[in-house]
Amino acid sequence: MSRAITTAPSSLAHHGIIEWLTSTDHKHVGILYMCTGIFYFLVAGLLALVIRAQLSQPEMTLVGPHQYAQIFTLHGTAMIFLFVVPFALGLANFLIPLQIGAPDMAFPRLNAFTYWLFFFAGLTIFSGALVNGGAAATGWYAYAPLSEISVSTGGGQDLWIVGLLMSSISGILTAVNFITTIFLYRAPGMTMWRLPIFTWEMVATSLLILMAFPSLAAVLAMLFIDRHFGGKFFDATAGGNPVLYQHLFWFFGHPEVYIMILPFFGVISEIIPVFSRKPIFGYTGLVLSAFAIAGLSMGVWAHHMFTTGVVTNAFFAAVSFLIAVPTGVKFFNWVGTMWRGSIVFTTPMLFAIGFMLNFLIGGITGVMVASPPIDFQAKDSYFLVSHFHYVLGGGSLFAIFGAIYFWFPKVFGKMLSERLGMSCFWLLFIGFNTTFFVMQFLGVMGMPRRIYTYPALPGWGTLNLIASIGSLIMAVGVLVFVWDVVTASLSRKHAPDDPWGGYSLEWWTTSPPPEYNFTSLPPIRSERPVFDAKHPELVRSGNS
Amino acid sequence: MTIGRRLFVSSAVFGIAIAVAYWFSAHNPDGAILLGLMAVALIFAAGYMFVAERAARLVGDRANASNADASGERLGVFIVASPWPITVAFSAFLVLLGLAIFPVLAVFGLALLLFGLFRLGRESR
Amino acid sequence: MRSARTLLATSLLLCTAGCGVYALPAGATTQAQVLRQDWMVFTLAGLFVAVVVFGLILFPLFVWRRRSNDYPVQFSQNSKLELIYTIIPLLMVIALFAVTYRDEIIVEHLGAHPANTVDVLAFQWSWRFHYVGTAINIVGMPNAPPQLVLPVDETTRINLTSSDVNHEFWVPAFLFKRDAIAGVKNSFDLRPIRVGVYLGRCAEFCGFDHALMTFTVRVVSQADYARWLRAGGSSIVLSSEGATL
Ligand code: HEM
Ligand SMILES: [Cu+2]
Ligand SMILES: [Cu+2]
Repeated sequence: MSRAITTAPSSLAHHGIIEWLTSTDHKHVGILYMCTGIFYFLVAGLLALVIRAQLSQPEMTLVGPHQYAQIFTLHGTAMIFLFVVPFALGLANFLIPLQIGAPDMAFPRLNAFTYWLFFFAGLTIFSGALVNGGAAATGWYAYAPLSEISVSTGGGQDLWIVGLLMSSISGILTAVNFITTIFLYRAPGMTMWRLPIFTWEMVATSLLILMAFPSLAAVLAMLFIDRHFGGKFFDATAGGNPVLYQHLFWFFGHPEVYIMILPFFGVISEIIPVFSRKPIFGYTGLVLSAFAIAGLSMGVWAHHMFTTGVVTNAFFAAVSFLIAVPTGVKFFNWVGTMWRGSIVFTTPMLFAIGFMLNFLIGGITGVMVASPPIDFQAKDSYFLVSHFHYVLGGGSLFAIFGAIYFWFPKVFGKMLSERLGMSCFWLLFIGFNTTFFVMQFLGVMGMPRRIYTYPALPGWGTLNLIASIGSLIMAVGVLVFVWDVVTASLSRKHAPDDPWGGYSLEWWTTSPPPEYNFTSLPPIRSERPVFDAKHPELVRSGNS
Repeated sequence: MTIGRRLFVSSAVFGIAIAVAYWFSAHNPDGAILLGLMAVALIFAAGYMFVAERAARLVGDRANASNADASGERLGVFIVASPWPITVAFSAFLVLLGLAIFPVLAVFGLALLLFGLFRLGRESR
Repeated sequence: MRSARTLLATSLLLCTAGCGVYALPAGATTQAQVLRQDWMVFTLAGLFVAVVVFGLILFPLFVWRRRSNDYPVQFSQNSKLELIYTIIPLLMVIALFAVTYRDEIIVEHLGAHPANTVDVLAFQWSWRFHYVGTAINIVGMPNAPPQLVLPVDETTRINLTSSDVNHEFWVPAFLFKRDAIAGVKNSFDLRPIRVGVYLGRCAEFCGFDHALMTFTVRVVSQADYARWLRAGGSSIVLSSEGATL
């Protein structure tokens, strides 16, 4: 390629474990992030199976209250902080430079540093299981005063705090790196309004990280000061304020849920056009809706506090409802993309459709719980557990599988099996809905979350058993996926550079891409440069 | 205005607007301070964008740029490997772990951290 | 084709199951009846949106499957349509907000002269019910849940707080919960409309015995309630009407 990039010679070995430990290549960093994320998904998934086993019948005694609290805390923490977010960051790490036609991220060393910080954060959080008193057991939002030293005396809580602190710093630095890279390193002709939607969504995500993560870092630091340096921030008996913890946590915590979904809106917006064999419908609206969501999501944090009695519910309900509008816009964009298209049913496309169907339920139940009168029943019940799993499991998780099936050939140069992929999809889709749909009923009937046992009230045993069976079906689906990855990695067949007829620049280069990514670039005149180059006869006239 | 400026300026304006709206509708100082701080941070970011992008004339922003236009443009120095990022991360891990459970680790970690940062700085010059 | 059909079948199943949100308890206070309306409105609106959007997602899968190698028309915009699909959801959420706002005000309204007042204290891991103006104090333990006695068709003011970590007072049959937070006094009114015994529990995770932090609410006739108060809170005097719900 014609841009001058100076490469510094490296004395380090170019193979084996040393390469992985020291690499600053964005592709390696991205792969590390994604694989670590998947590892924690498997761990947290196993924990979820224990939860479902314990709850499969009333009065089960598989695990006691002490273990149960650690299990759901680690499950939630790992799924959010060690799986979904890192996977999104890893995918973005891999894709952003490729999609904008750059040789690497703007700050490669910083990039490697953020991964390793996250790596040690995961170890820190899980090492809590080894210390006296066990791992953190206060849930993924660790409300003070429950998480104060007077109540949670164990070192597990400290390790949890420190681990999350590390991951929040890592996230902030990553966001800076993304934004800088996207603003400054675009290839000739790759104007902002030609960026692939995934990259755009990562701009919005990075902005959200920059606004929200400092609040997490602050609340964790305050909690740590309370615990070890005599602070009284959240101690009501000494003039502190437990509600402040909730404000600070959710000021981060709500944007966090959009940090966990915007990248996957991007993934879906990449997959659907390719397999509808049309451009994305309403590009500008899609981009603007990402920023509308990001902005509005900064003003809704206290919808997690409707029952505290100390916040203005109407304000937060109104802004929360408004978020439904840009989210709806995205759905219509995807429908518009499929409309009069030529739809190909591949595994990534199936996952994208599954994402839309599941996320729709998550979105509808989301609007419901954004209404305080409904939240008064739904909050802290299994209705809510159902809602956020539809968003995170049915949404983010399905998009992650879609992304894996879509980009695996690019990342590793091997094709995953379509046959196994479809089986995996159906098992996950059916298992997921079996598990989480019934939880809505449990919730309205009065089953609270985070209980390790429940009495044999009418219907509770049956519904819980159904949910547990569903989780086993999902587990089989995950095993199929693991098998698929193992066999594909061992196979000798090489994936073509562009197996799907892709649009964005990553499909222009080889699979996997070489060091510094490109040896040539096509002219970039729309958001689909690769498509334009391969189908000059179909180039839309007058596109900007 | 470049897109970077536009993005951060509009975010900052939004931050101010929502902080004010919140102050008048919710009468809750905790939240208003949080939103206010967020707005201040965004104003800083917007200001920085004005300084940083003043000189930038990016080939990526020109709609009709061809690859030839980029020849000779110096993108920077790229390396493929460095042992210092993982060293710094590991030492930061030791510092925090030390604070949490075992202070001696923190001292050791701090020393390693300074060394790692020094080497990282030297390498990236 | 098979994939699309199975997807359609699953989605239809989901929609029917959605109606089951009406497994919602009947609502045993006047406030709960208002809350129940809110559930109805939102569930119906939700089902409507679900059917329309499921339809929009699934329809193209049947009609526009790839049939040849030719690319379809490469259109990507329709400003008028985009405007419409922004405005319609906007109008919908404005309407939903109006319902929410109206109902929440009713539910959270504090009457000027409640007939009775009970101070509820939550602690790890049970409850204390103090009947204001009397010497009645009912204190529970994790394995001996306390009973809150309320008169039917009369408003009782609950003042809720916690002496340690956060807890949450939840009676599913009342469709209502409220946080108990140290340093915060939360007040709300309950006006039960049916005699009976209702299960209540802590809904905010508060430590290891959170699951056992239950209580019962016993709604009794006003005559019974007066007798009960006079007997200093001894439940022997209550006639055993109403079933556990
Ligand atoms: C793979 C199948 C999964 C199953 C069977 C499952 C099951 C559960 C269950 C039953 C709970 C409630 C525990 C309780 O409240 O007592 C729970 C909590 C939770 N799950 Fe999952 N889950 C799964 C996947 C996921 C995924 C993919 C995510 C996120 C990406 C996730 C995030 C969470 C979070 C944040 C909590 C809340 C933890 C807390 O209360 O602190 N789960 N899960
Ligand atoms: Cu939220
Ligand atoms: Cu509790």
